[in-house]
Amino acid sequence: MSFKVFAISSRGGAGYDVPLHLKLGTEFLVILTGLMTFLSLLAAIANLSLGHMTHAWTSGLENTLTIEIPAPNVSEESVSKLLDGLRKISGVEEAKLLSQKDMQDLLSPWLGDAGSIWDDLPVPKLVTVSFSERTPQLIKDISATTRKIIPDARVDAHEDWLADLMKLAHGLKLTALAVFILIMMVTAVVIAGAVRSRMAIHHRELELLHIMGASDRYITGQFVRYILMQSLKGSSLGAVAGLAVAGFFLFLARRNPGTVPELTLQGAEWLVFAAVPCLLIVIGLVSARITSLRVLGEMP
Amino acid sequence: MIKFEHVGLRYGIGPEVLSDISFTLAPGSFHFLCGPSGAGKTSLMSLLYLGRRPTRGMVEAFGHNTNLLDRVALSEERRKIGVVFQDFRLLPHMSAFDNVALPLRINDVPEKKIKDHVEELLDWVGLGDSMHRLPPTLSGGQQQRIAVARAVITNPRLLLADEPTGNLDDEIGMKLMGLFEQLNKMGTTIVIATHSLQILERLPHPRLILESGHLKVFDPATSSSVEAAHVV
Repeated sequence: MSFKVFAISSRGGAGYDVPLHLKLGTEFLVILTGLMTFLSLLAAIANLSLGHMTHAWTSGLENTLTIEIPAPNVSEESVSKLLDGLRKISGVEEAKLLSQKDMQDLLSPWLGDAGSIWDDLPVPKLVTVSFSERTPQLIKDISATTRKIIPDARVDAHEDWLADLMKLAHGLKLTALAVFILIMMVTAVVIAGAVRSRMAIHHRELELLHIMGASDRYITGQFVRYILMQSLKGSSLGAVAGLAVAGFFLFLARRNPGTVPELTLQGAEWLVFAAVPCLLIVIGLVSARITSLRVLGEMP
Repeated sequence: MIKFEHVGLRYGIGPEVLSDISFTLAPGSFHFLCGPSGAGKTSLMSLLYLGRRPTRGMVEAFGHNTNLLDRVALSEERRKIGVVFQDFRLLPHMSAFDNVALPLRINDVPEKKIKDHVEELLDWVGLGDSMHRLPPTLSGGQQQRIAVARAVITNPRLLLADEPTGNLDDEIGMKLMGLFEQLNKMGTTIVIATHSLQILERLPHPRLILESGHLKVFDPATSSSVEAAHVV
């Protein structure tokens, strides 16, 4: 009776003519695809989060600039004239002089409560200009207007350090993408190796199927199905682990802000937890298919 | 049906194990393949079941020059051939039923038909009660019968058997030969590689005799021996 049960499940259940359901490194494939899914999820989440973080850092600065006016040389009238001139430029949404209180707030971390010395300090006046869209022409117009009215004023469009920040952010995003691609490539290579090894182990069975007239497609179908089953198990575990880690980070970030990197997935981006495992499975299947067809091609 | 023309076979860069083999197997014929160990019987059988391509010469199977067939077409030609191996080559993880059903599944036959055909055939070879048992739990004779059932389940046009009675006692061996005779009468072309003098004496079919890679044909009916190259 026990033989009957085993026999039916051996073919009818697993559906393999080659005994692929026997555990010969099966756990290794499940663990490997699980680990690869987990790591590629982390890389994908890092890539998306970095995108959001750089956007958040730069969006407040991208559409603003600051004009520094050396205090001793400039009259209130010139400043008013500058503000009027700036507001007339097409694209400028707002031009505002920072009040003395705002300046005190800005400098108090360095100067402390300076009290009456504020009147004696040659603190420059600061004008913030905000606009709808940063264009080279707009920056040029603002600079020209400023120079015309207050020649000593300096326009700080944040371009230098903004460019450095963007370079760093893009570099990190590219690194995350490279890691993601590398993980996919390693997965493809390892699965190809696993298929090749299983085909070597079961060479006699493969030869028998070949002699019976099984087409390459028929035999390959069995290996592809085997890899599909192992990848499904592994990728599911990897996705669950990825979700757990993401949930843990979100929990920590909310409880203790600033202690862990902030995950900023939005809306459809949560689909990454389904898309990445699916992509990994597809890559595994393609790799298994190509490898199997190549090995079978070596048979007459 | 099967035609060999100046066929040679070598493995790698070694010497030819088969040299200049030419013969034709007519549809419905019955031949024994004989010869001492190492003469090349297994190699010739592998060419007959299209498991190898010859290193020279031409093998024609069922009207097609196999040298010109692509992999897909060649696998279709293989499905017209049933093979009984000396060591049976049953898949030990599959039941007797699944082993016999394998060629039908490869041929994409519906499961309902597979069930009917396989059960009927296993009954016929006397293994109806053992169809769900795994091969390692069966005797040599029972495994042999499964191997034969698997080879004939698709009603092949050519049946090849390599020492099919080697593991059987004389009585069961002769019963098996009776089965082959029956299949031959139904139109199946048969080639059996054997050393058994008893079988060769009892059944007066033509013999393909391999010696050092060369082939001769001996016909006991006429007691004539000719070079295989001239046999048509």
